[in-house]
Amino acid sequence: MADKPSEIVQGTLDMLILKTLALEPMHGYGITERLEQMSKGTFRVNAGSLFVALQRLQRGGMVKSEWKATENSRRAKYYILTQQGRRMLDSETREWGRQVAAIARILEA
Amino acid sequence: MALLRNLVDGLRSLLRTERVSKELDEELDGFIEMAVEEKMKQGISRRDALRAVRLERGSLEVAKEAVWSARWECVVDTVWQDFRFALRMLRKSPGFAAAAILTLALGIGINTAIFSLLNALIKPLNVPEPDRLVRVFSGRFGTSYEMSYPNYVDLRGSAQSFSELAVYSFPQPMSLGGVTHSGAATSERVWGIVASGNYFETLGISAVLGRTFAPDEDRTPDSRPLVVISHRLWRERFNEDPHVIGLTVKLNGYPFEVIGVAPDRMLRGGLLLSNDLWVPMMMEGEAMPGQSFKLTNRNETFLNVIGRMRPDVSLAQVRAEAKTLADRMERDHPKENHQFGLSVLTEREGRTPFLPGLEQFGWILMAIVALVLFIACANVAGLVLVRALGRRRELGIRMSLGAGRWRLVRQLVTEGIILSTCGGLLGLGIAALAIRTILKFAPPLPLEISLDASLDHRVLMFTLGASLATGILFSTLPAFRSTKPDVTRMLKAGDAVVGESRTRMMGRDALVVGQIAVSLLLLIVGGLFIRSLGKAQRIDLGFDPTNRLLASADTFLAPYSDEQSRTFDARLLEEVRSLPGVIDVSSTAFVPLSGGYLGDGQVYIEGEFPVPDYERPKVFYDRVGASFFRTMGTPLLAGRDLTERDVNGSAQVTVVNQTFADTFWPAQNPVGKRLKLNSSDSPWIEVVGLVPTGKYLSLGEAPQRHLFLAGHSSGLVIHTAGDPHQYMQAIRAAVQRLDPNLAVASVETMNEHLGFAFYSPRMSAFLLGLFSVLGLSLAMLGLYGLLAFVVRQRTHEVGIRIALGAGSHDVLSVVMRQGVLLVALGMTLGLSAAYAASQVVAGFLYGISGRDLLTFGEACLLLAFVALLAMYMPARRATQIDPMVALRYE
Repeated sequence: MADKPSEIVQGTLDMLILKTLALEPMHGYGITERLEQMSKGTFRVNAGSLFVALQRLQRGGMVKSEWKATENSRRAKYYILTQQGRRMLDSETREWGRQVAAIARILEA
Repeated sequence: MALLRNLVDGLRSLLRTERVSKELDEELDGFIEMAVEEKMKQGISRRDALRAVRLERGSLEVAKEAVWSARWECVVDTVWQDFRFALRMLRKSPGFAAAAILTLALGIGINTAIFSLLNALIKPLNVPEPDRLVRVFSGRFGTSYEMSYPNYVDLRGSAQSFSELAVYSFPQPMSLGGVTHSGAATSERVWGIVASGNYFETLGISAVLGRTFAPDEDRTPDSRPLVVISHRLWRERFNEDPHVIGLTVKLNGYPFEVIGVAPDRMLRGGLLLSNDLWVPMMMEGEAMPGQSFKLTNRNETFLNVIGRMRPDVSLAQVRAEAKTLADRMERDHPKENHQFGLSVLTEREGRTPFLPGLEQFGWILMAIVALVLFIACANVAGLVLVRALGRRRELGIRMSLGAGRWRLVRQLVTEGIILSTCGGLLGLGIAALAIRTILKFAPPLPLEISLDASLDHRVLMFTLGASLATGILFSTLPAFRSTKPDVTRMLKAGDAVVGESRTRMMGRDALVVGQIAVSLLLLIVGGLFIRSLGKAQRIDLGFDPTNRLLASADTFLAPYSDEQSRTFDARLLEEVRSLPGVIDVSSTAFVPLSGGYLGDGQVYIEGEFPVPDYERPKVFYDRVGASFFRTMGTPLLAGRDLTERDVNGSAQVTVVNQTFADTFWPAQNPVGKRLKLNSSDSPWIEVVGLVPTGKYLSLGEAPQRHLFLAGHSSGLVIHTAGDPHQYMQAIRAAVQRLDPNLAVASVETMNEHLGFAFYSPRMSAFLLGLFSVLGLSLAMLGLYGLLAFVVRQRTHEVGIRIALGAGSHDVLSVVMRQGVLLVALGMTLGLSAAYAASQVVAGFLYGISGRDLLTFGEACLLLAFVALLAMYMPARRATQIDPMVALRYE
């Protein structure tokens, strides 16, 4: 790990969770693991923010959940991306891309 | 969709808290376990792994709390917690809760009662689209008169703004006969309305049984004898028989066919005279025998006009059209419609001629009871303040354990709202009782008044609003005050207050000052109305009401010829005169103070300077029988009483009152002068007597010119030797003996009759007196309670003073000095408020001004006395404090 893990940029956690779930359904711990892996250890999510975000996404209809056995045959709640969630991910990704490009242009100017 | 899922999810977690929380626990536990396992793979011990995970991922408990408080149902849950806790706290002090609830229930109850009466006056009629209904009056310069039938026909013919325009008469007495199942002929007096054929259509009301009139059934005079009966008549007289439709009934002896039954409680809203039946306008000649000329005479104004505006027309447009039409109607009939005008009022504005005054009085009452509620609120606020001091330790502990100030305030306000809601519920019961009591004292009128004071949705909303508002009002200030973040002092001080803060005392003092001010205001207003009633009862009526009896038989409704009814009246007079105990008997066409008059006419004085008719003064007149003034106990100032010869003779004579004489023959003896009534072609009438000016239309009227014409009239006035009640039966029997088919209209004592005229001063004195006494008692209870509490708080200090040698006089003055100051301040404020308020109520008073010094003085003395008493009792107790006990008090 090169740097100390940092908090996720505000307002992006929902989008990042949806992205991890776009690959396959996953349980809470799996989501944090994957976020850490994919960010190469830059982002670390604490349990509180993660589950608040998951609850919000579920109530918003972006994900649904079901209890399943893990590969270690432990019971865990798996979160599955819904159609609505996929659409939201697409639009948020596009919007994020636009913003990052804009910010980059400003910083490079 | 998302909202719905959110809602369902939230409800699920509320209703199955345990299951949802277990699920969350399991998920979080799983999360931690997986993280720990991952760490342990790197060869760390389980304990170290656990610690590391907690460090990296945050504590499990915090996560759980975060998830929980992100849900909306969390708010519901805390409110529910507050609610349960508040209930528990109130259960712990039942005395406090009961006192607060009862005080509030009384305040909210009378507010609800008065509001529902006011609401009944001003709420819209229960017909479709009541806001499109307007009333049209003929009259100009702010005066409003009923309309004549010919003018109505012209108006309906040319007005474009109305989809319907209808007229109807006031309820008129009619005799309904010939419908008993047993076959016996009876007749009873009912009240009927004569209405145009489109009356029901205009209102948008259809019959519950049968049908209402069709417009074409009201075209030709005397052609369609149809009648729609009221639901009440159908119930009481016809036993709700569905076969009543098509039945023939006799109205004033004429056969009428029943075609429909009007809905129950038809036309609720406002103060309405309820009637028993409706007949088409064109049947006026049968419904009111001998009155059919009213249909063709443009001067006979006897109709109420109600119209339904077309949906695309505004009130301003209707008024504009009415102005144009009025000018045209004046041009077409310059003689009858001289200075003609049409005023268009909304249905509510034009309901009854006396509604504006009643409504204003309703608002005054509303303000008065709101003040009583304010006193009740202040009382409860005082209780809450006292109680909050006792709860300082509890609140202090909760604050030091981390409870936020907001949370505590919310908790205390929740308690307040619970109290006031309970008070409101109990208040509804009190209101229902109060309304029933007030309505029981209905003004004595021959026909029923329908005032729909039911607790409808508006009243319930009012009560709910009043309850919430009072709850928040009396609990918010004490709540903020007692949760000042000053934990250490709160914990240390405990019950005994050491160095109480200045602001806290100011809150209490403000309560005392406010209560004193408001109760003085209430006392003065109540006192004004009570004194006004006293004055009203001493008003010179122009006659002596004691031991006088009134009786009338509706001969005009019977199929009698003029000659027959004269004979009947004369025989009845003789029958009554021969009854033992009857001192005098005479007759009058219209008893004074009936709320109406027989007639008014233009006067032509012999030898006067001629003026055009429309500038001629109008005078009220009555037709009375022989020895009328002796029978009524009216003294004659000049001339003589009327005799049989005056009544039956060919020459017309009259007695005038002082105001009449002063107007037309100032400083002259009117006896022997001559005048004409209504037209210069009518015969001369000679003045034979002069009587003092009495009251004729209402108690509050300015002196009126009045004529008493000698003539045939059928209302009997009887001067009896003793209690007039004991003669009633004999008089009824006499009427029955003369004609068993005749419906006796009424037999009542003069004092009962005057109940109508005295109704408003009596009722207002009763209500305002009651409310001011109620307000005063509440305020004094509050004052006593607060002072008793202050004395208890100062026990320690007083003990020291006594130990140092202070006498009981010193102690008294120390304790009372502050109180006296507050009372004086409150009274000053109350006096200024009363001075302002007296202008508003002055119009409702008889014989005194709104600034009656005596009333102001008496109210001040009474309040000062009672307030001093309320303070003296606790202060007296302070002087008896045993210093040893007091010093050990801590």
